[in-house]
Amino acid sequence: MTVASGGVPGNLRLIGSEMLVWSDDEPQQQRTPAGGAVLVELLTELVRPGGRAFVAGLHDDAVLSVLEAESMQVTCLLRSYPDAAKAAKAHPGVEVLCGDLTKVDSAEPFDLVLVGGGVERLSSADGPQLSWQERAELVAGLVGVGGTLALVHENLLGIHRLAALTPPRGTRTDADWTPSDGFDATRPASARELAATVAGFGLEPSTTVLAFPHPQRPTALVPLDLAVDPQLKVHLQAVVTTAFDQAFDGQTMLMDPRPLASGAMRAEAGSALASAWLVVATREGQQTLTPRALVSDERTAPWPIRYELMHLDGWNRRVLGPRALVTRNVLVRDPQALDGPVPDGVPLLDHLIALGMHRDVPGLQMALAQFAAWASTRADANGRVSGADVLILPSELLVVDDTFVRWDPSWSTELTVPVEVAVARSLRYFATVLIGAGYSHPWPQLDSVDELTRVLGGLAGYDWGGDDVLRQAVDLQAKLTGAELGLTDAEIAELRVKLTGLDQGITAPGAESVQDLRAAVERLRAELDHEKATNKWNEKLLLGREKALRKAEGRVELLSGTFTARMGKLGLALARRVLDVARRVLRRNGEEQEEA
Amino acid sequence: MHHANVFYGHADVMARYCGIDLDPAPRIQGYLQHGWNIGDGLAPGTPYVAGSPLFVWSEKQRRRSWSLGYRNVVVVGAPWAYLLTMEPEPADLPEREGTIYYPFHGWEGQHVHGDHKRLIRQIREVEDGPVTICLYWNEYRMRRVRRIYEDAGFRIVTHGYRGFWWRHTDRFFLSRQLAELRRHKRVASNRLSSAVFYGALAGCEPAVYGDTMTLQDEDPTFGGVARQRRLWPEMHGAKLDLAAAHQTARDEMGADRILPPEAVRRLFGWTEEQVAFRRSLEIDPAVEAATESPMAGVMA
Repeated sequence: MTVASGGVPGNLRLIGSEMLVWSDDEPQQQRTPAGGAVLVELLTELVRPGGRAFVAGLHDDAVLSVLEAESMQVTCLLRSYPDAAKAAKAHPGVEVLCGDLTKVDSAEPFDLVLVGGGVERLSSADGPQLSWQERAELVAGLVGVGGTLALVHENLLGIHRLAALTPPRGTRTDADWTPSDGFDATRPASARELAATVAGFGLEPSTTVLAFPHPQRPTALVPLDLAVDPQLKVHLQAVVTTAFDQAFDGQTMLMDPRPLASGAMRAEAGSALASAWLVVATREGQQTLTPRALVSDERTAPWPIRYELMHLDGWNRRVLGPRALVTRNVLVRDPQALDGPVPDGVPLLDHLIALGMHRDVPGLQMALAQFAAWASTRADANGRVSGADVLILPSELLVVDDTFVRWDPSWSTELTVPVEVAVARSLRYFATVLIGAGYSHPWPQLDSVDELTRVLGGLAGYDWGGDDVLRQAVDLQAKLTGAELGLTDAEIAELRVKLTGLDQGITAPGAESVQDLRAAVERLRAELDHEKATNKWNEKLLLGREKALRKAEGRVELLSGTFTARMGKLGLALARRVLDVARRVLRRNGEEQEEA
Repeated sequence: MHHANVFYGHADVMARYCGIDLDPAPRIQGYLQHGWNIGDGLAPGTPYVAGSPLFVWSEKQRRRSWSLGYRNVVVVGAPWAYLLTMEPEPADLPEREGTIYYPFHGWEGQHVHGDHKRLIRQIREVEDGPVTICLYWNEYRMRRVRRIYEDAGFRIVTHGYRGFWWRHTDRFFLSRQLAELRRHKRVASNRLSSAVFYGALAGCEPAVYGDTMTLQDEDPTFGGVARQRRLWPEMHGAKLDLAAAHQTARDEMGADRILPPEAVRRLFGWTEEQVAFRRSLEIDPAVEAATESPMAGVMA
């Protein structure tokens, strides 16, 4: 890419220190535009129709589109020339400045300044290397009287970093020419410090919003005060856990980010461990944000939906954006079903795990039987369930009083299966989590998921002695996962094979963490040690038996034949014994004489 | 490694700094930036052996190289800066006079297109003292080009041949350039280049003005002259803010990043063992005799 070759678009101004062959949109280099559905949603509250907006750093097209739709006069700053040329072409109405933050001429202030990817990305390799504070101050200086700053700031202690395989101090991407990170003393290290720093620039900060799971592309935005609301806590635990589950599925991590996320929300440590903080601040005025959490369910198309969590006579969910029913293969999703009060209950999976950990087998038996009985009540006369009743994984259900409700009731399926198979899929999933995540449970010696599932099925009142039901359960799981991810038939068949052979070496479904892998190795080692010890013991036993057999065979031989022959053999044996004794006596006497 | 390491006798300057008296200088284990650069630190098209150390002049250059994918990038400063520590300005230096002007040069593979006459007019407008024109060796050999400047009444010099493929390396190229620069009060060029920074560091008042000329098939990857103006506005103009210009020159030459000889030896792979081994190799005098400078008969 060269400046000279393509000609500079009319709405693009090179302000100096522009990076000519650089791009901030290189996912393989861990660089992506800032944005995402929830940030765009939040932005709809901050737009000033007809006003001036400054977008600093590379953002999604959708971000610019939202501002343009409200007739805002948009200026954006990009350090990369290819990114700037692309943005200038895609948004002819936007003034694109290409270069370093320090070269921005701030003569005319803005009504809205957005920095969705942090101030670190506003510096060019050619520009001066300013401290965080100096950069943030330059950005804040662009906010006019009555104007608003929306700044996303990555938390270096965030879950995404704690769980990352590469230590942050060791990242060596092209963007890390001078990593400052925690060594920059001016860089705010907490939500409180961030708000205080922004206030120091003469801006009035509103509530800080916690962002999960990626700092650049959050899928959950939770205002600080909502994060500690006791009524909302359990639900937010699930929201944040799901966000990490979706973001890091299939990736290798240092540790499973999900329990960490869930634990952080439970411990009211969301602020300390959030991936990023978003601060909204106004110069000479107060921007009040609607007290709501914004959640985006990020999956492959057509499934994504986004919704808000608001307090209206109790906590409610309300779907934002498209509400039409969507289907793919056997799966159906009706976003509207999500509208309404947030169900208040304990996640079934957590409940079952806790019972197992406490070795409360009678309690577990009761819970599983209750679950199976509930599933049966949903079945038709032929013992078959259909629609949403097929989807009863313990992770999808909440225990409410004596019954179960769905955490996300928007999902359904076109499949009809025997209730036993739906329950078997559910318990098999539970068994996979118990073994894969290394939970302490009452039957650690069972060396495969299927064996553990059979025991759990037994507690629930089933007998899955043969392979039939479990095979159907695996089929169902493969089919549903295939529909969710949009897999081909061949990929579904491959998945089925993978799901069939699950042993002690598995890790929890989702991200593959080093901790889990180590635990899996420990389990396999214990299994191997046991097998080795068993083998040794068998060897010893076998040898003893062989010796005993040999002795018995000698005796049998001695005692077999005619009477005369037996007497003869006996006589010879006696004579041999006498000779042996005599020899021993003579040898001992000889030795005594020598000693004397 | 790459033959550009010995251009202008850079490797020799560094060897002298390290107290290694060997001709040719020992091989540098890496790539030494050989000219002021606004790209990745290497000249365009330099074949780079992945993972090799890249010894660059300035911190800004290091950041730029890193952002372009290089990791083993080390700031050592320009050999010119080392030369200045070895050859400080003598106290009895005759009074500096006039301006040395470096018309933007091409190299053996590229020639410049531009209006020399227009440039001469612009130089005359700005400079009130005597003017020396320093031509690159290939332009110096072009009678037509020399004549244009000679007719304007300018003194014409060249610093010599920078060398190519380890042949005809002029070990004292930079020393000669330094001596020439120290005769002048001002250094100027029509494009910001190593020479302007060298002059600034050697105590001249720098200036960049005049027809920028164009290189034949110039590689526009680096954004061209316009980018230089945006990046270093303080270096452009007939009369500059000298404090700012000199500071930029120090930064770009890495004059404040000079390493002690022991560090250079370690970084360049010039350990005692290697130098001893290099000394043990005999150089056939016949080979030396066979290499005659193409500048023979050209140098005044």
